[in-house]
Amino acid sequence: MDEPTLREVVNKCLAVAPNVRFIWHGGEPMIPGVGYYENILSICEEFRRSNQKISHSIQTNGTLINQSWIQFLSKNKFGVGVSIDGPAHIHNFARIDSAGQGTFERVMRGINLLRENELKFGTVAVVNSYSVNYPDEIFDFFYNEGISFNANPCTANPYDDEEMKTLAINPFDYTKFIVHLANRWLETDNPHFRVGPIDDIIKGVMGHQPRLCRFRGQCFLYVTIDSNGDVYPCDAFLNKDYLFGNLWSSEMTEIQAIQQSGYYSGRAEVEEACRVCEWYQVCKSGCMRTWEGNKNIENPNGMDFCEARKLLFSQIHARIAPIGNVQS
Amino acid sequence: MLELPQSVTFRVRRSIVGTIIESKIVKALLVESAAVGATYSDDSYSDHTVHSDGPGWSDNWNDGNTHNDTWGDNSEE
Repeated sequence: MDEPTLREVVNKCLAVAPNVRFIWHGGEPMIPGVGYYENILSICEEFRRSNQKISHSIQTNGTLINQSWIQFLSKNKFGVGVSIDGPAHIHNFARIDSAGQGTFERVMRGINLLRENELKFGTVAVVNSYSVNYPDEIFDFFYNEGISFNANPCTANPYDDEEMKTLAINPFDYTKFIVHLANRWLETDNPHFRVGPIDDIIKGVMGHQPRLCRFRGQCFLYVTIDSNGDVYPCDAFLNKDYLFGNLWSSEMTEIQAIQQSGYYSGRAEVEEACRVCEWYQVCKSGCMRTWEGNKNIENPNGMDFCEARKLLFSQIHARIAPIGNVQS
Repeated sequence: MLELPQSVTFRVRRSIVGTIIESKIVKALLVESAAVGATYSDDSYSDHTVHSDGPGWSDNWNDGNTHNDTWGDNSEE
């Protein structure tokens, strides 16, 4: 994203919300270097309104983390998320560099730098058609390394390329994988080690509010802004079919109106159909990226993503079923 | 890290065959939820929503006004 677009994006985002979070994605968002983000912070300060909270996170592959990055991330309280799919053979299956070489060793070097410098970080492990076969290896790797992780499914929409479709997993395989991880995690009884989204699902099935957007039905809290200023509902929908508009020609308030009346209104119809479901409070109709690329669903009941999600919640619930109220 | 109140007991079904024990994991998750008022009907909880493709926590505001959130914190406490 070039400087003029950056200024336009920051200005228009900060103008419409009391508090704003930026999550910087790529490609690899560390490629532009520390100076690029120092400039972003300067722009944010220029447009920050009185008492406005701004936060920044960066979702990185971790291969470029060095001491300069460590100092910058620490000083500026950047949230850090590292993408790592598991041990070497699993991670390197899908995460290779431009020369076709696996990146596992470089990612771990970055993670070790974060740990040595006591920087808080989260990790995202994408569960693809290969790694879904190795839940134990993945769990053991992260647990032995002491790295909490979030296992996100690799999903594909109809317009995605063939490689993505080959890597995608079906929702039932994801459910089976997550339930297996849940069993492993609960066996440890270690609350200092976290496995997402199982932590959120446990909260949900026990009557508490999850935190992840995909269990909260809160797509409207986020938009994804491409490098040219195009605005989409989410990073899963960088497709012209879902384009809200461009910030060079639209105000964010106009984008939000389109979001609410178009994209999100379809979501509201689905949620209405879902309200009779016993798992509605923890599901909230799920993440639209798992709706098989279909934004015209009216009632998901019976569709694979819906049935797999019901199975996921029921199995976690069976594992966690409370037999008594909180006693004080 | 949130301190777990000693007076609160959560009993959970440890396995599907019915062995009943306390779970530190479940206890910690429920205490964490309670600490931010995370009930189903609490709309203000939106401020704590996190995106699935981000680091996993929501409160790293750079205004010096944060509360202690342990998600994604890999340190042993």
